[in-house]
Amino acid sequence: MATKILCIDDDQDVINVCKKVLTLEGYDFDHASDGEAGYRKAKDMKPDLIILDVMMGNDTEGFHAAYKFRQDDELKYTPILMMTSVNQKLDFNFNKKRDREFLPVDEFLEKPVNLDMLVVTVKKLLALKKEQVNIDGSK
Amino acid sequence: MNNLTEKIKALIVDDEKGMCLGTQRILGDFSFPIEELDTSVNFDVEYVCSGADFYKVIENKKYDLVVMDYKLPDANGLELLEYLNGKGADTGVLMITAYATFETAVKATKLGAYDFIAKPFSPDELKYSVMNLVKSILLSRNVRKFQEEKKRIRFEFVSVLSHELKSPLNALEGYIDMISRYHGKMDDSELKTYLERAKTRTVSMRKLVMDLLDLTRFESGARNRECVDIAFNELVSESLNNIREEINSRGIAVEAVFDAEYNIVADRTEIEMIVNNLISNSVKYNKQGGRVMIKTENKDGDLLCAVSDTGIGMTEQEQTRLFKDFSRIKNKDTENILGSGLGLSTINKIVSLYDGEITVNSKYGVGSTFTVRLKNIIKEVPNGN
Repeated sequence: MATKILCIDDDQDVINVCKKVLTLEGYDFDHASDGEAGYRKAKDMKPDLIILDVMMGNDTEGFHAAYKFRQDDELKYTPILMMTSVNQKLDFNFNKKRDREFLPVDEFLEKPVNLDMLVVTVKKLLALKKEQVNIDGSK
Repeated sequence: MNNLTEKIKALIVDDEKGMCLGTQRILGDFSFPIEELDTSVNFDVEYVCSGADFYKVIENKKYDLVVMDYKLPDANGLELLEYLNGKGADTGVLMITAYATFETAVKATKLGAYDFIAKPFSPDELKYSVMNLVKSILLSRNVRKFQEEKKRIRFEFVSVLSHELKSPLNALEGYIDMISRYHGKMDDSELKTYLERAKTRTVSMRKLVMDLLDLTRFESGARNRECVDIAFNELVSESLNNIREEINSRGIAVEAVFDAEYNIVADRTEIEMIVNNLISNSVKYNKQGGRVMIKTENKDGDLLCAVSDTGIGMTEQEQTRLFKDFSRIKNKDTENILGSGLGLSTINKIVSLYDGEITVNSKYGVGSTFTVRLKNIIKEVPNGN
């Protein structure tokens, strides 16, 4: 059974690119366009990796989604790759180093996403063991 | 009408206790309005009788006004003034002296004392000087507040704008990157789909830039407004003709109802912006084969124009954000509709130029009605009403 990746982003074009690239790389790909739909889809498909955008309906929807996944027993240990546009909104003071300390996600990638980096990072996160997943922002 | 009261925290510094008490009483009973700020001012007055006590109280409390004797036994007014400046206090200083010389006046003014009065002074002299000083403090505070607010709004606008401009660039870069790496593994139809999406994002980015120019033109007031006679019904027909192709291709039935021939006096470009935007939205956000209804009426001399559609509609939560800059309703229904999120916010600004309002009534999945009310612009209604 192929490895499953769920991408949650409200930008159709990000989805298009991720879908094509990750499908060509041999993964099963599915997507959702907001945190709520993403959560429902994740419960259903039980992905091996979640790719999550920060700013969807509001500036922090992605963060809330990440916390929700970590509180769910079934999805708790699914690695999360967070896609951000750092300083996308200047007043949104997002700091990768600092936020990694309390955000329960495993890696950050900045948009526009370099596709080599995407493929490498996806591989790296899929190789994480259960105990290596950053479930409480401590890793 | 004074809606607000501003309590000025005043401190008197004088080694003669009688002077302190007298000044405290005069200011304690004093109150005056500042019309520009819609505020009335009164005072909360404390006093100290030495430089040493001044340093003590100033450490713990911020005063709006200091009425200061120039010559104290243990300090002079210039020292205290310098100390206040060093603390960066936003405090107005009125210097009182029996020995006013030109030189000390210049020095003290350079250090930021607002005014001088010489002993002995009458209660009216004191009140007059204090009133001018307080007005100046409060007005300059108000100007600063506005400037800061302006800066904040501008910053927010630029932040959102940069986000809106980066997002199509990210999409384009994504497609270019993907096609250049994987084109050997894609068939022609896939390639075509991606190129079409890239083109769509380019077009929408251009629209954003154009809408942005419109918005800033209206906001800056740089445009010369010219009020002319406009046949409103005709203008609506022209607007419909401009997008006739889109109306036909989407099979939308349009009905325009005028209970009279409406002649208005207004700026043509502004009215065109309003009408074009509303009509274009009603088509753009409609369903295939939907309906658009445009209804115009005279409401006590105001022009009321309502544009209804049977389109995708909005939830109540979505409606609250509608008139903000760059606000776009993002969901499955709108992902293929081009929009900058600036159209309605621009209309909203134009409508306010006519002392009017724009309202929305919408139901998700059923449709929306946008109603614009423009005050007192109807020139004549030959058919009655």
